[in-house]
This record gives sequence, C-alpha cells and structure tokens, in this order.
Amino acid sequence: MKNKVKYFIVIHFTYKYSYSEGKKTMAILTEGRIVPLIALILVWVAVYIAINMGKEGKIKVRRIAGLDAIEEVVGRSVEMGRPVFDIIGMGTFTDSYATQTVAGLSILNYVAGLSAKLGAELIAPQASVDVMPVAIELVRDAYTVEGKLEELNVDEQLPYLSGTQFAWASGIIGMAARKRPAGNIMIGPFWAESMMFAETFDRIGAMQVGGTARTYQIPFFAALCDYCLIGEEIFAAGAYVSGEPAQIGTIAAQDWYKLAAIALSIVGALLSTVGVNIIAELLAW
Amino acid sequence: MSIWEKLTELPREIVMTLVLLSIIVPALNPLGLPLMTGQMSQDWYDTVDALPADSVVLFDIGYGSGGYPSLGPGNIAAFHQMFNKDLKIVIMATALEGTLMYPLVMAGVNPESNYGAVYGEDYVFIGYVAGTQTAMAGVLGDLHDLVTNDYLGNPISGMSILDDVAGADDFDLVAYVTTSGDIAEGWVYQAYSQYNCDVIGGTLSMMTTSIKPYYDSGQLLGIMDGIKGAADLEFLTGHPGDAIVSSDILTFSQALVLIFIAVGNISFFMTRKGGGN
Amino acid sequence: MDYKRDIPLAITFLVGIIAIGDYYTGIEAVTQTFNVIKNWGIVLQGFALGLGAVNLLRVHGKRISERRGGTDWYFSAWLLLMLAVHIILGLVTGRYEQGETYSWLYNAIYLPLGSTMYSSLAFYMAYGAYKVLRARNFDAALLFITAVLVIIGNTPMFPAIYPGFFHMREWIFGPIVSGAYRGVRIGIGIGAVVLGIKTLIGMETGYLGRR
Repeated sequence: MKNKVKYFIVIHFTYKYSYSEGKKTMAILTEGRIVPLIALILVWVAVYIAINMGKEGKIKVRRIAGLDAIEEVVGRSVEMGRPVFDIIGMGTFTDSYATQTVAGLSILNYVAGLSAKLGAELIAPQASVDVMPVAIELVRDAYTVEGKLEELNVDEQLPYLSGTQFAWASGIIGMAARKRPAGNIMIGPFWAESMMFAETFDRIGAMQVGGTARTYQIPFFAALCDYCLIGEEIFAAGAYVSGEPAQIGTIAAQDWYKLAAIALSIVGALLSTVGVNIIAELLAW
Repeated sequence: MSIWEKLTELPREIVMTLVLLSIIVPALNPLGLPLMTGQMSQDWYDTVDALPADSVVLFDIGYGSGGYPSLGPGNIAAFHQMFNKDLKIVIMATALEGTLMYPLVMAGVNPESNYGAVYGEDYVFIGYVAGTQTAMAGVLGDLHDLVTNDYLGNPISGMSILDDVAGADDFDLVAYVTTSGDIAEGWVYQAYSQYNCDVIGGTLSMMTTSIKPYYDSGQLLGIMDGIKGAADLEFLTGHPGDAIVSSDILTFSQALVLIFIAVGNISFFMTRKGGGN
Repeated sequence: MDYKRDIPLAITFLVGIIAIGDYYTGIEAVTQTFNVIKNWGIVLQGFALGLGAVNLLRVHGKRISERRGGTDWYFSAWLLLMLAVHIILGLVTGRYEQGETYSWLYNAIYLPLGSTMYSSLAFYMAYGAYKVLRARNFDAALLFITAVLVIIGNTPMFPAIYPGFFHMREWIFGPIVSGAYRGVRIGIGIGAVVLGIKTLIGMETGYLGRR
C-alpha cells in the first residue's frame, strides 16, 4: 500500500428516516453519528497533512522521558548481567484494548532490537494466544536484523503463561522472583495485576517503565514506576522510538485534535453556563 | 540508624503483617462499627424500590472469582431486594466466569425457599453471551434471536418470564455487577445511549472514579461501589452478610494505612530535619 | 510489490473500512458483512485457545523430560496434570449443567486462588501507600493530602461519625477527579483513533509481526 493515497470522500445526505428496532436511522448514515463521522474524516485529513509535514521535517516533538529511558533500562540489564522483562499486557486483537496491545508490540519490537544489539536477555511472557505468534515474530525479526537469531530461545524467553488474569500474574511474579531482572518495561493494557507487577519488580530492584491507557491502572504505575507513560503517550510510543519523520508527524495530528477538543470544551462550557447548549446539540447530531 | 530512619524504611514484612492482623482480628470478631450509606448505593436501592411488582430487570453478572469477595455479597443483596419486590429477573453473564458465579450467588439468595420464586416464571439464567458490547446489543435488540436456550439447555420459548420480553423496550431496568470497565461502560453505551433504558451498575471501588461521570450525568441511576456499596446495600435491604462484616475490616485496615502514612511522613521530616536523606 | 506485506495490509484496510461503515452507516449489507467477519474472529479465537494449550504442553513437557532446574520440573508436571484433569472432567461430566466434580474443583481450588490473588492487592496497596505518599515536594504533598482525605472519606466509620468526610470525598471525586479523568479519556480516545488510522493506512504494522 503506497503512502501517497488520495482519498475521495463523497457524503450523500439522504434525509429519509426509517424506524427499525426502536432506533431512528437515516438510509445511509446513522443518526447521532454524523458529527463523529465528520470528525473521523477530518482526523484522516489531519494525519495525511501531518505525515507530509513530518517528512519535510517541520514537526518536532518534546522528549518523552519514559520512552528515552527504555534504552537506559536495557543498558542497565546488560551491565548487571540480569534479564530485562517486557510485558505487553493481557489484551487481544479483538477486544477494545487492541490499540494498546499494538502499542505494546511496537515497544516490544524496539526492546527486542535493543536487547539483541546490546546483548541483554529479554523475557516477554505472553497471556494472549492470538497475540503470542505476532510477538514471537516481531522478536525473531528484531534478532534476525541484528544477526543474533541463534541467541533467541523462544520457548524460554516468550513463554505462554495463561490467559487467565491471576494465573498469568502469579506466573510473572514467580518468574520475576526467580530471574531477578534489572529492568521491567510494561506498556499495554493492564488490569488489577499492574499494582502487583509494579510492586514486585520494585522490590527486586528493577528499573521500571510503565505505561497504559487503562485509566484505572495509571495511578499505580505513576506511583511505583521510575518512568510512567500516561494515556495517549503509549500510542505515540511506536512512532517516537522509530524516529521516522513521517511517524513523528502523526504524533502532531494527535496534538492538533487535542487542541481542538480543548477549544470545543472551553467554548462549550462557557456557552452552556449562559444557557446556550449549541455545542452539545451540534455534537449529538 | 536512628529510630526515624528505621520508621522511614519499615520492612514490607512488618507492614504486611500488621495489615494482615488488621484484617483477621475484625473478621474473627466483628465489632459492628457504624457505617454511613452512600448516596450512590441509596440511589441504587431507591431505583429498584420504585419498580412495581412484575417489572422485568435484566441483570448481568459480569465478574469472576477475583471479584466475588467484593461484589458477590452485593449481588446477593441486590437479588434479595429484587425477589422481595416480586420483580422478574432475566440474568445473563457477559464475563466468562459469570456462569460459575451464578450458582454461588443463588445459593446465597435461595429464591425458591425464601421468596417462593419459580425458575422460568420469576427468574431465568440465559448463561454466558460472548462478545461484551455485541452481546449487550444482541440481548437488547432481539433476545429470542440471540438466545434460544437457557443455561441449562431448556428452550426459552416455553418460559413465561420471557413470553413478553423481546428486547430493550420490555426491560424496566438494566442492572449489572462487574469488575470490567468494558462491561460497565458498555451497558451505558448500549442500554442508555441506544435505548434510553434505566441503568444501575455495581463495580469495584477503584473503578468508581471512572464510572462516576456517568452517574453525575444521569446515565447511571445508582452505583454499588465495591465492598462499601455492597455493605450499604446489605444494610438497606436488611440482609446483613459478608459485606457488612467486611466494612469492619475496611475500617481497621484503612485506619492502619492512615497510621502508616502518618508514620512515614513524620519520620521522613524528622530524618530530613536531622540531616539524613 | 511485496505481496507478503501488501496483501495483509490490503485486507486490514478493507476490514477496517467495513467496520467503520458498520458503525457510521445504516447500510444493511455492510452490517451483515461485518457480522460475518466478527463471527470469523470468534472462530479463530477458539482455534487460538488450542495453540495456547499446545504451547504449554510443549514448554512444560520439555522441562519435565530434561528434569531442569532441580525440583522446578515438579511444578511443570503438576501444571500438566491439572490441565489434563480440568479438560477431561469438563468435557466428560455435564453438558449444560456443570458436573459436581468440576464445580467442586472450581469452587475449592480455582475460586479461592483467584480471590486470594485479588485480595493480595490490599497488601501491595498498603505498602505502596506507605512508601509513596510522602510530602517530599509540592506535587507529592498535594497527592498526599488528597489521598488522605479520600481514604478518610472511604473508611466506613469516619463518615458515620462526621458526614462531612464523605461529602469531601465526593467533592474530590466530582469536579477534580472526574474533570481530570475526562481529559485523559479524551486524549486516549484521540490517540487510539490516530493509531487506528496509521494501522489502516499501513504505517503501523506491528500486528503483522513485522516492522
């Protein structure tokens, strides 16, 4: 699929209401989702513009300390002669946390490349049977690029533990206690086990980088990890660590939209305060 | 090492042992310490209480073994209230382990002996429906199209409780108890946003901050937040159980945590004052 | 043209467009197509479960045959034994109703183990609170004060003595936490959408197992 693709979007508004199952739907477009569809199209346009601006070197992003620290974590593991863990969470490709899983896999690929290059032992336990083959392939690729494929033992370094939350959690805690890693990188979707991991690896003395977009677990990472990626920073992770200008550009698209959301929020809040609900009504259209 | 430095760096074994004692002592000797029912639990209770007899409730058991200690007692109390009010309950599970929680909960409620309820007439369990929001959309869209048998394999077409229940319009209330944010928010999207159903939800305490915006905006009519909410519900329904006992444990353990926090800070400042790190 | 890369990307793009079409349009053909795709996904996941079991058998079988790690191989043997017992019991006893033995296994072993692991969070949180909630600087002091006020409001006994503690907790949860939470959620939503678009246009290929 080439990068330069022209999107021709023609939207036909057909104001013909039909009632089905108690839900009003227009013939083509679902009512209540027109503004979100327009917003989605605008995001596509923004990403396209941002990619082009990125390629021209016009986009600069701030340092994200957590992502910069990943190299330090792997380096520390090499110096201490202890393994580095990379845990991508329990998400699958078919649940609503798939985007976080993809973000975690981007970082796994990066960490695998660093581990192969610097000679660290990477341990990446798996919880999800549909993600595991992809993770194995990514790590194998990374080791192959560095010419160190013979150093990779998939069964020992990427073991499948369990798809059940606490069986997986206890497996990782046990592995951590036995292998005593010097570093731990946890980026992906995490549930209650996040606190257990952060505390266990902290007790062992591992340097930790934690990041998740599951808002319930962000406070635990923020409290216990040395570096924490909050929310959307994990989605920028793959682009950031790749360093490719086009990828960096897409981070800017995220920020432009955030600015738009902030502006809408401020304007909407002020208008609602004086009794004008036009923004809320527009967004519900 | 001065006493302050020692208090700043208490070994985790000591901290965890004291926490363990703060849990065991009130568990073995419940003190019946006072508790204040929260507004969210009160709203849950009032919402169910306002339903007339024979109203149909769709109840989702969305938790498993990990959530049972926190949410199981609240689930039992909720069912006590619903059976007491002669409501019809259509029970489903959007969590895989929900089917395994169902017999545990029903053993605690015992609807046949306590309320004279009849399976198939007053309540039915349609089992685990895969797909979270897809499942919710399916049940609320066309229940009989999605599910043909109940959990025990009996055809639901012969059950009087489901004769007049086709979809969302036939449910007077949607209630769920879950440890999953996906399920908690999914019911708001599917039941409230799509069909304008009345929805009440039970979640873990740590999820309350995420779910509360829905309660504040009126999308959720009540929240049973964790073990505290379960204790409130047990108190309001007059069926004291494990949750009320747990509220004593909560009081002791959280008071101990406050003491540890105070000790940690005082010793930190005294150490700093004394010139240490 | 790199077929190994381009064909999966094309499939991803097509399925993504169908998913978007299903959500935003009311076109019946699109909805039905997406339902078929979703069913395929459920079937594939079922097969993937078998892959997990095979992986466990292979890895732990190897540990047992090599008698690796001193007595560690005992645990591998126990795991495989429990795996076999649960699978056989589950398949053989009961179809719609759980067999009594399977129920007993679940209620006597798995349920308490799961509950115990979940309950262990209390100890982790208590120690975490002791270590982290110290007013080292201005930000930490804010966190400390807020956390203490919320814990006091959350403890059942204190609001019963003075209801103001509970209302204080509610106020913290309301304007402060909810507001911040909504901001984080909006950012997460936007980030996920941009990542999704990058996936659809082939910029993000991690899910394919290659960069």
